[in-house]
Amino acid sequence: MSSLTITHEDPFEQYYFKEEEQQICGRPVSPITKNYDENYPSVVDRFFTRYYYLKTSGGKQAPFQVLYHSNRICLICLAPSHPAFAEGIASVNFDVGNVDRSQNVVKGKAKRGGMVLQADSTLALLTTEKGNVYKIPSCIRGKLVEVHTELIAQPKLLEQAEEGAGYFAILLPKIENCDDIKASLMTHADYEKYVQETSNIAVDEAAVAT
Amino acid sequence: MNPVMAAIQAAQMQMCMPYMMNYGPVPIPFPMQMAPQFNSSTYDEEEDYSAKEDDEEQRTLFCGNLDEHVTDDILYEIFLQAGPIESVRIPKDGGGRQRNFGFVTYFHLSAVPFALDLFQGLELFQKKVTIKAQAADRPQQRQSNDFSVPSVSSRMRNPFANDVAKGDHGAARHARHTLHDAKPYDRSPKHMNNDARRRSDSAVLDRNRPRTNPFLQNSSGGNRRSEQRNNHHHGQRKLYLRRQLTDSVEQQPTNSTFCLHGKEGRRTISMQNQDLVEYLESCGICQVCQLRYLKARGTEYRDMSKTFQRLNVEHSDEQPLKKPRLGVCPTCLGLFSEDFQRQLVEGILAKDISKYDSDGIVLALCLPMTLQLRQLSMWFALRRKFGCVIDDTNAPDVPIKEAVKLILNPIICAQLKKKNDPNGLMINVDLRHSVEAGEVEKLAKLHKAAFPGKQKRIEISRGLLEKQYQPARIKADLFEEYLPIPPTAVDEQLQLKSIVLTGPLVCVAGRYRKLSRELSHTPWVLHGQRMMEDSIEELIIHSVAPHFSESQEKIIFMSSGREDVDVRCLGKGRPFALEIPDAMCSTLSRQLALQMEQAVDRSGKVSVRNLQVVPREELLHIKTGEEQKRKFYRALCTMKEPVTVDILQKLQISESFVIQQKTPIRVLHRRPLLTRPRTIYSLKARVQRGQPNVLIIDLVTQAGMYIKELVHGEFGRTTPSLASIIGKPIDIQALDVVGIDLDWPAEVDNAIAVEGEAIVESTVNSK
Ligand SMILES: [Zn+2]
Repeated sequence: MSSLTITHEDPFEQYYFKEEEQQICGRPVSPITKNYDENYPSVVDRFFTRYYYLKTSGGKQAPFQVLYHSNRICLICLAPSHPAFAEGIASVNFDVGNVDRSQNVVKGKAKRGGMVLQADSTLALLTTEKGNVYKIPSCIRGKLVEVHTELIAQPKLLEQAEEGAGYFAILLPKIENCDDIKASLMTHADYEKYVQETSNIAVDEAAVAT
Repeated sequence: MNPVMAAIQAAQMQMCMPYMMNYGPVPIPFPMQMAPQFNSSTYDEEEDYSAKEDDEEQRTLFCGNLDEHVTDDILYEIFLQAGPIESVRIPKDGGGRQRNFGFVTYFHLSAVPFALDLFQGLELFQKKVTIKAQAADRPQQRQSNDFSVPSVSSRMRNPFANDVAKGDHGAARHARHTLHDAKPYDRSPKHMNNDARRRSDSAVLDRNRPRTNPFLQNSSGGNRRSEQRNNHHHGQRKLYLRRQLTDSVEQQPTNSTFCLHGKEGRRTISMQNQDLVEYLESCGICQVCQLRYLKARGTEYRDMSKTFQRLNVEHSDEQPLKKPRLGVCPTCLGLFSEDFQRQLVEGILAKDISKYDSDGIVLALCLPMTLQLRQLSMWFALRRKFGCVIDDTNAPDVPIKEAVKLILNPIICAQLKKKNDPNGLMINVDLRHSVEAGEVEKLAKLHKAAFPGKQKRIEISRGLLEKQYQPARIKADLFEEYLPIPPTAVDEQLQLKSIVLTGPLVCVAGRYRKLSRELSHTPWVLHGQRMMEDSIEELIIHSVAPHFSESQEKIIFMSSGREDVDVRCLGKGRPFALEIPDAMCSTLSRQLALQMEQAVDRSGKVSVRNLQVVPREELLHIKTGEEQKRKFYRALCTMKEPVTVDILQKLQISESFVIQQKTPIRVLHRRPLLTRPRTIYSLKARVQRGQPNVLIIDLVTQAGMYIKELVHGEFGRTTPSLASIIGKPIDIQALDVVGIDLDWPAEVDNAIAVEGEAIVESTVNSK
């Protein structure tokens, strides 16, 4: 605490972790820091499998991402190459015309009362800063459990959020449908191939244009 | 403090009734001890008393939203504050689990509005109890007298406060139900068969139900006004009989005439004890049953001839010799015969009773239904013989089940040299009789004829028999179309069908530490496959159970919360308990406890300490107030970039705050979607020297918080989260529970205690 040492003092000094020793079963307990793993996978990598779904509307194709949890819960997101990211996201609306998805209510363990959606049912409408409106499809057949209503007030979350945090909704497919659903979706490898091809086409088109 | 008492006292404190702070026995007036003179100024009160037999429903309170830990005993002790209680009942469902509602029946109608007022807002185990008058929904003819609440001052007055003076203290003592006189606990909530459960239920009911004695003190002549009162309650002819059974000096000299009072001078209907006994004798009723019909009490069955003498009953010398040979007593089917007692004792002794170390036993008899039918038949017979002297809703005899307790229980206890203990070894005796099947078949036909409206496949149970089958509800003539009145003699006495011993439920508690990050709490089975070799539950049970029980399957493991497979539990550990049904042994020496702890420790995965036997009531520490408990955690967290002083400062929080947490996705497929508010009491973050992106965060939170989701925020589903507090992504790699603020069970260092015990043993040996 001497004033002479101030300039050399490590600003973290008071924040360094010191392990207290404890013995259990006659042996010292290993400190929690021993569990540190530099290559620890992310939350999405730990629990989810990435699948993709293509929706064609107005002659244009747009890709969506399905994060499939090991317990079959699905998060519906935009795929990273969705054109809305390039156009800039202006607003998200869960009122899809005939029904407002944000009014979905589920009760109990069985999620009673949740809307039952088909893969091409519209979950939400997304408007870009260019004025294009994209229909967000449900991507899978299942029961609507949760709607990410925060996106209505903060549509920019979609651009800033970590992977998964820009989910539109959480769906719960039936156990017996899971195999069919997974088979109908694009795998991550398929998706990478798809991105490669579409960017090549874009390059070709650009080349043709010039 | 005894937790049951604590719950009761907490409930009392909460009601803030000054006189209740001083908890003590509430004087219970003997309900039958009413003033003989009828006096118009006390009309209403008198009417309450005289009405009691017929309006059970109106005297009953419904208590809803009960916590699973609320027992009959707790309800009794609390509701006693509003007046003397006739019975308390918490029904059970088909699986033997306690329902979440119960009924309290008072002796007096006037207790009901008082109780409604007094217990408004009552909370037990943090749950608000809904209290309603059971008869509230029905039309109330007597409303003006019973349920109107005249003024605030009288509302808040205990209507029984005045009864102290006129109350019969002996009776009060008799009726008082104490916690020590508790029921046998459910041996195992999950696994017990329904028969055994029913038996223990009936034991509870009996113990709670004070003896309803229709024999009232009254002057033999009666008076006009009482007669008027009787007529006033038409259809409810009450029996005011004079009876002298006790040796009390205050009472009038013996006159053994049972006399329907009020009719003297015109038409006297009288029934001498001698007449009653002679009639019973002519029906072949045994002497024990004769005493039952004379309403003999506890010790009066021991020296029967003395009791008969006191009741001025003579048996002619030849009769006892001749009559019993004619056959087995038609009302008890020989249950009280010496021969049966001998068989029963032999049967029990043939069982491996020495396997159990319990000093106490409780006898649970499962009687054939025909016994109950035979009591009813005798009831009809007595009404035919003696007319309305015999009531039509209150049985004229001491019920068989009660008589079993008075007569058989002491004999069995003496023979086995054990004391009667409702929590002791349960001896389940199933009895059968050759006439049972035939008579039950007739009963089924009778039931269809007697209750034609209720054809919803009601199974005829003992409970139904007890409730529905009484002369007030069934006509003797109809009954006689199916079954004889009086009951016919039989040749064969009751036979033992089976005797099953069930040891007491023993609870063992302790604290465990979990050292492995690959160990589940309970066996983890997915799609029929074991996912992990061991579990905390199995490691503990395997070391503890063999001392108490031969089978480990029925043991229930419970703990104050649980941790994920990959989470350790350090510090003092997590409180847990084992419920061991049918235990052979109900104690645990510290030396043995230490050996068990060492056996668990050898697994290297789990460590156990403070192992001890605890009373079952204490288990509610584990199950209640879960949300009030604080939990202490240490989390290993990582960031994508080096931590800054600013981030560290944001994660030093000493004031509590509330977060909103949605059900985590990892459990959402099997749990409801809810947003739960949870409190964080404090946060303290430190950085690992040399690894600037590694944080060690100590958290104190309310129980029920999902810590992993709290750290990374789970896509914004927990807010605020540590990620949202610092405005940057942060993840969690490892988690330890380091403390649970539950000071239970008591800290017992079995290693130290063993030395003390050795000394005690050596001094015992040296004597
Ligand atoms: Zn008998």
